[in-house]
Amino acid sequence: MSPSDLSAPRSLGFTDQEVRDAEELGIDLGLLDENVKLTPSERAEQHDAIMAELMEIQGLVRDAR
Amino acid sequence: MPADFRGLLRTLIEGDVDFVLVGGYSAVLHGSTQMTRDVDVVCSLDAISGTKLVEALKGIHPTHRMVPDPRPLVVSDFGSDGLQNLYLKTDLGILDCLGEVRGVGDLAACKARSEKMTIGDIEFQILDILSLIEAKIAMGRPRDLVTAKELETIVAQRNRTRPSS
Repeated sequence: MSPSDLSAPRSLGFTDQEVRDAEELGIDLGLLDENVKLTPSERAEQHDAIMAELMEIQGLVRDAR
Repeated sequence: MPADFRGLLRTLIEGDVDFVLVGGYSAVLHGSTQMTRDVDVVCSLDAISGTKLVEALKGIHPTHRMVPDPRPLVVSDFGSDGLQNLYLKTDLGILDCLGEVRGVGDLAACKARSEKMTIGDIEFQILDILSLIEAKIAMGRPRDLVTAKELETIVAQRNRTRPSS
């Protein structure tokens, strides 16, 4: 999807202004839409899992230096 | 550096620390996609609360992380005038204890503008989404403004889809 394709985020219910703001700030509205549908527990689980992977990668990079 | 943020919250709750979750992790739990590397809570930093905090965290080895020579958190760190924030590193990740939140206020003000949240088997107070937006705008850093915009979008989307009465 082109970043300027307004139709896809619009189909998720976002307004043109929200789409423009999102483009300007680098917000992924598709990801935001998915996040909103999760429960707080699922959001926490998802966030912590990604952070744990990130930390592990950083540790590997540090060890390799 | 681990990042067991739910474990950090559980440690505070089990230690009976009076706090409100604020900052980036609270934004994540409200639906933001912005990742964060720490847990920010607002709490009282007086001597009594400090003693409780030290006791609660002792099992996860809290050390001051914003000093040239990192040293353990101890009870005598509290009670002196001017302690506004604590920036800690623990076995479960980074924990910042703030005396107040810009744009909202101290623990009492944050409590008044918080809601109860449950994740898994832990329950705690979290700054409500509208107050968090105000705080993020008041902080004003580029990433805070991105988070504020995400949260505003979530609120708008929620209002649009809420059935009218």
